[in-house]
Amino acid sequence: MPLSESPYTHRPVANRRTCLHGSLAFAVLASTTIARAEPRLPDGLCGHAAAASLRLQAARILFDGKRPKPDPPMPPGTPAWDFLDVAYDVTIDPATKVASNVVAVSVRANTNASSLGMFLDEGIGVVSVSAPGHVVTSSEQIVAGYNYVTLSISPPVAKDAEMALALEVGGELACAPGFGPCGVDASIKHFLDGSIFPYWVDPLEPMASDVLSTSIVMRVPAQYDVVASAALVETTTDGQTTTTTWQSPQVLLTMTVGVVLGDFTTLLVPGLVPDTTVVHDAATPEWAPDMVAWTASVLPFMTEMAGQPLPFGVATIKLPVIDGFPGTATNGMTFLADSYAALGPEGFEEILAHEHSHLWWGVTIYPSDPTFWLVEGLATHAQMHYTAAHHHAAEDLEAYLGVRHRWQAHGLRYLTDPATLPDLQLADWQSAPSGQPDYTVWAYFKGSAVLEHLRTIVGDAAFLEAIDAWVAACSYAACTSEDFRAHVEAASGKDLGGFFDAFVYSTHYPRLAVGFEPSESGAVVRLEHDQPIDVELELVLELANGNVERKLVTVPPGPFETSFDLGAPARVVKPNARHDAIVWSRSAVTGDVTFDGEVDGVDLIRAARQSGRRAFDPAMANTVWSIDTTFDAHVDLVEDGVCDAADLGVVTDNFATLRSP
Amino acid sequence: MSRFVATFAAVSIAAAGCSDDPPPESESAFVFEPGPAFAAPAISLRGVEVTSDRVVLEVVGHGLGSLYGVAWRLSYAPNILALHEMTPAPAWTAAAAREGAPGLLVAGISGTGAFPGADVDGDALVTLRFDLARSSPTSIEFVVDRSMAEAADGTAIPDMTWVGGALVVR
Repeated sequence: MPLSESPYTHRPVANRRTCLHGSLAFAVLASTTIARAEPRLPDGLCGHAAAASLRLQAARILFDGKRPKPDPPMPPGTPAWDFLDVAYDVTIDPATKVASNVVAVSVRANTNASSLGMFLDEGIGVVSVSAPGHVVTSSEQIVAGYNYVTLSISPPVAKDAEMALALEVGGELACAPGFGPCGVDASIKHFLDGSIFPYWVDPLEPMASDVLSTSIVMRVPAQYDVVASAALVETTTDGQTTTTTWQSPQVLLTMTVGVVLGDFTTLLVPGLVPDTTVVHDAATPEWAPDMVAWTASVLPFMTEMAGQPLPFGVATIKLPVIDGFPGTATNGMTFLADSYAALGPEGFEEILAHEHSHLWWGVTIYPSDPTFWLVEGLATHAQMHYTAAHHHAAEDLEAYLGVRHRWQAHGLRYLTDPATLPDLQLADWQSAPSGQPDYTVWAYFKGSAVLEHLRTIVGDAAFLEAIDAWVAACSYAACTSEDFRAHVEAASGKDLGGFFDAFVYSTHYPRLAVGFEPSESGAVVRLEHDQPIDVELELVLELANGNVERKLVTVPPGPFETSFDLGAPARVVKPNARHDAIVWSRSAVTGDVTFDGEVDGVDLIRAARQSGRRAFDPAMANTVWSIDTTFDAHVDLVEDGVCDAADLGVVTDNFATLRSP
Repeated sequence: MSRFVATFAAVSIAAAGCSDDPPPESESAFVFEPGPAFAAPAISLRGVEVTSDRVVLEVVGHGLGSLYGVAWRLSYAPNILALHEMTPAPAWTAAAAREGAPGLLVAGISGTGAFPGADVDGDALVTLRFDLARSSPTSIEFVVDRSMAEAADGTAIPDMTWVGGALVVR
């Protein structure tokens, strides 16, 4: 069945190789000081400055961004082809870069279909192609390091008919430095879709994906160990060549293959079934034992979050630093480069958590509507909650998560123009941001910010129950954001139509003013925002008796007042900081940065402490690594992304503003 | 800093100019008497000068390691005292003081940015100058639940003692 797919950014080869990972943890955990010290980190997450996916490029190549009219007509989003099975038989020698791939493809037409596209490494071309009952011709063009091949089929394959395509491609791989889909220069050689393996492009829906079965035969010089993104069936050798056979009963079209060659040491991760391993270059074992320990912790966490285990074992490939390939995840395989060791153990582990989470969010579950929020956004969300649970459980988790989400908040509010970032649900794939930092902020930050906003509203239990249901219903199935909404509504008992309309299908950043008058047993709270929507959020009320109460409120447009009877006067009333990336709140009292309704010495200290901080380093404005998560936007009273004398001046100008006695 | 001081001075002078109270009593017997003995960490008031129309006090820190900032409120009789100005010690690059209501001083001092904090023990944090409307006894007390001292690591210094005092006739 058709699924759709994401421009996985980390290489132009799009696909569902997820990655944002490391980047996230980095900025949040390490702050800008460390980020600036690591020049190898990519501009975006997943390692690619250019965020546009190969498939998005393909859409432009194929039909200048406009979807052709299928004959007979089909609903929007329906691809021309359903892939059923693909078998690869690859011979490759990394030393010479000479490679060939004999491909057997079984597809079924959803309409009268006459073409099929694929990306290959620019050094690889079509050797032969045929299909019984059809004449198949190929044309090629070089695009950004790829050879884009169009197969033309005559007569067209009739709707609902199947075609068996026999294809051979081959040549000398370029695998240019910085080219993500393949690399032969490092100690670990890697080959993904878009190299000797075709990266398939549906002519009607370039972002579409299917569930299909695959088999891979790899023939490589005998000195190499081989790991592929499938289950190993057989290994043979004749002393010159090692032949391995791999099979997957179901994969998504957009992440069909990942293969690595090298001299490997394989470490078994204890306690996980099916067998899960960490694979590293035998000469560079550093961090490998850590990855074993982290994987033993991360995968159970993600399994619990998803509500069910993965259908495959996982090989974690510890990569050396490879330009253009810092990491990703695919079917039963997670890649992560040593680049992120600069983050220190906790940050490195969190990046691995992001990548492992993609084994669910992207590898087995992929929304079929044009959005990435349930792939990259959910992976970013998962990594932060993993770190919170495993390294900060003894802290105030609400406060911890609030600070962590400053990465998203500053990315949305300062680093990019919030007025120009598209909605999470795109009108079409071509409207995805194509540059950095916009793509990363949109796909990873905005997606995870809205998820955190949602989770804070519905609560952890309902959110996780919905995730479980989403995974159960949507693994290897065509689901959309509407399906996700239905699961969250079922779990929470809330009508979330308004929420999704406001934050998924359109965009709002409500500016919320928070005021209150303490009462003997609580507070009268006055809220007002500037958007024509209902804004639901959790208020945190700090009481004079030291207790902290949390209350959900729904704030309609216009002035809104509500009261709380909590047993003691309220001292502070503020939104949960986990909303901050989406709801830009301020005290109703100018200069009050602590939300106690008064301007005093505590506000002065808060503002003074922030003095000199910037939301992001303008010298690095093309990357999310420029964001400083120690910057507190509530202190940026003049809203210019800098905390300085101007903000302090707002505090002093309004100093000693007290509520009426 | 001078900007803040100038601002406060203007405000407090204006307030003092409104007084119709009778002239102060004899200066010779009118003094500031600090509060009882205390244990560090603490912040106290120390008398510097009492004249017929002016009271000068210091806010003094005791046993405060890596002090980043202090926020406090002082209450006093508004018909006797009014803030004239606050002058912070040089270490405190951000400061503000103003009467939030008659008889209620709201004040704060702080380092800025990456200020590493200051070890304070017996040092004056600020000097407060009040206009004295009349030499009548009155207490000057910290509003303890609205006062706090913060360390460089961002945490509130625990177990603080706040010690005010009184203007008394001897």
